[in-house]
Amino acid sequence: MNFLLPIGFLSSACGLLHSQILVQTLGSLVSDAIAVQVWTMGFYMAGLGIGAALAGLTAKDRTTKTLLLAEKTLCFTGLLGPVWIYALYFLIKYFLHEADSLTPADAVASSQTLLLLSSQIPALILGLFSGASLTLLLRLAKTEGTGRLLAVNYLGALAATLAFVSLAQRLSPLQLSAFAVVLNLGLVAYLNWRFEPRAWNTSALLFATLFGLSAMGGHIEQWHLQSRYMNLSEARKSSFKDTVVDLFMRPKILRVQTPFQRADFVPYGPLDYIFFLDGHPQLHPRWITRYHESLVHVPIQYAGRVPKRILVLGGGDGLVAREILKYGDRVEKVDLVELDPWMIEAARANRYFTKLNQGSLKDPRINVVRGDAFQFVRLQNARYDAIYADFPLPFSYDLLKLYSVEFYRLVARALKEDGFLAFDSAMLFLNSANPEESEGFLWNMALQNTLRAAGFSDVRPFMGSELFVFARPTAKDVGRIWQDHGIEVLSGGKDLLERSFRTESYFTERPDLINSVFKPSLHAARSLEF
Amino acid sequence: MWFALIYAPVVVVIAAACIVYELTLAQTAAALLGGTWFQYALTIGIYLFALGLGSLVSVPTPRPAQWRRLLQLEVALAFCGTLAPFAAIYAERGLRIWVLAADSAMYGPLVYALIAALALIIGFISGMELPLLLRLGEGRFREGGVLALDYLGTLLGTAFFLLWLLPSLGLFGTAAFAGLATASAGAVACLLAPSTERRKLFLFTFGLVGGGVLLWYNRELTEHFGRFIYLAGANP
Repeated sequence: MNFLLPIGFLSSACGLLHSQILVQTLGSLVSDAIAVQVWTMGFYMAGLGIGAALAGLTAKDRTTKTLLLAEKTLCFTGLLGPVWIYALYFLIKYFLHEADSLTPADAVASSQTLLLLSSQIPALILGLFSGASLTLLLRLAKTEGTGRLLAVNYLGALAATLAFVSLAQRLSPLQLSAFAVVLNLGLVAYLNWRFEPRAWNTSALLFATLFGLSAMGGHIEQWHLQSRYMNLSEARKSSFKDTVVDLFMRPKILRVQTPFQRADFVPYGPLDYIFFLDGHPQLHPRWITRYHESLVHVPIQYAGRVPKRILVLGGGDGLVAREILKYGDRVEKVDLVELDPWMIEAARANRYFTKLNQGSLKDPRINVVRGDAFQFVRLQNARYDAIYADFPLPFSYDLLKLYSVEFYRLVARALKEDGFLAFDSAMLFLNSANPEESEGFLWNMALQNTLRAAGFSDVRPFMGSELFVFARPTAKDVGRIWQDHGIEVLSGGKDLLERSFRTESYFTERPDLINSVFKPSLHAARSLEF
Repeated sequence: MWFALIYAPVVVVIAAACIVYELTLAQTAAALLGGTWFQYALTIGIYLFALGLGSLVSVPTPRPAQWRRLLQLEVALAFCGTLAPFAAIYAERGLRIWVLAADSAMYGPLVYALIAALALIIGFISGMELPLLLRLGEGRFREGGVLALDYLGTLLGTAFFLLWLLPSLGLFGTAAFAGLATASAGAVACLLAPSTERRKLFLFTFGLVGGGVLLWYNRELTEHFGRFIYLAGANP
């Protein structure tokens, strides 16, 4: 009986670890992180249930043989899971996305759904054979051992969760899956030695596959990155086979796995890079200037004066800070709160960033705080003239918090009486003839209703390189004539201000759409890329 | 046959309610401390650990006492699970006022400890339940059948929580709803139990009424906890 306990532990740990690796792999490709977690764990657990029941039907005298088979299958599926998802991603992108009969938004949505569902095949297989293992082990343990075996089974799941939480931020999916497979192969080898000492063929095959894939791991990962950022219309010009081969040859994409996100540097021309976080473009040599100039200067023009105390939430790249520092000594102090320590360090020391932000984070007026923006505004006492939020768009529950009524209440409290809040809105453009039919209508209304419920009675969307929002507690007229505060604006100040009015506001009261930490509104912006 | 037909939904509902309690707690932790992804992973980890611990302890229940033990656990589960998020938010407010002012380094770890303790209690109770459910179903289901139902319940609970409960009822409504579900499962289990155990029915009726009242006042609760407890006094 006792020798079954470590087997039960390892078996459940490996099963859960393999399925979490699927979540990790898919999570970087599908924008809806909740859907990824729910569907993958759902299929895995459904598999566990079905597998547990089906294993009850197997012949009693073949219990150990079936157990060994189940563990081998787990190993094999875990090994190929991420590769399977990478290949599917490429195939769906190449053949379905931008198919002529679909609108771009529909193509993204259907590509993502198709990828999400077809990636569930390995999750289901993992569940089936993990569940089967548990039933077979329970059979070997007899009734007296049930409690103890269940206990180690759950302990294994705990160990897998902890290992995953601590390793997922450091290792790529393929590295993590190699780790899980090595553990699982250890288990297979033990079972093989104990129950089937004369049949080693398939185990040897598994070992060989593992070594092969490990040697290829870096290339596969890079190939996948290339397929992620490949230019589709260009790729379509050459044949399918050439495209596949070509992805191995392209200039290398650099990926940094930070504690909180994946930072990608994609070559742009011979000398420059586009900077992506979690697959969303952050800094693009072409529009980088206008984005930050709109966000910082237009609200100051609206408010009619230069703020003295400023809070910047997010924006660890230092570009918002660079624009703020243009106002010289009229800005007294800036608190900048950034979650990701890698981002802060890179913005201070990495040439790519310092060239763009001109060393803004080293300025003595900028006080950089490493921490969660939500906790910062919740637990601090200062009052600010201006608050700029430069967050990623709300693709997950975690980010939705930063667009919640609670967050905006805290922000309103942290503002002086005539202070303002400005942020990149993630509002999608509305079709003014028929706003309710527009793609972003619900999210747009959710955001506006949330801001108003938090006490911002003056909410104005404004146009820049994309849509931004200017909000303050009391409604007043905004400045419409460009005032030169002695600063230089590269994209032309007057032009910037005039362009900002080129949007109309549309608002209906929908209290049911208010986004709260305690009741997240799911109408978040959907990713428009695949 | 009729036993299996009534017993199966009880097992599914209990498993679903347990995971919903834990996810509610994870969402509460995320609201209090940030880091949604981490809070969910950690809470699930603690839940699994506590399940293991619970099923280890549960072994020696003698057959005649099994139904009584199951119903006791049901009452405890409904009570602790439903009230956990409320307790967490109240306690965090206390910590914020008393600890944060004096020693801010202790604030974070103490809130973590608080959430972990609540997750551990709920997980422990459901862990004690599972082997009991397996044994009560023994002989009436195929091998692995009850286990399959338990996993099915967990799956349904997770999907329900994320796709329907949290977005449409909100955190407090979800806790109340899970309380209602647990009390209903308890009431049905009472009917299956030997007649001496049926007296517990009034307890579950009480739980049903309590859950219903909480759900009815969902909006007021959200306003009270979300605004006046969670945000008020944040800056002492």
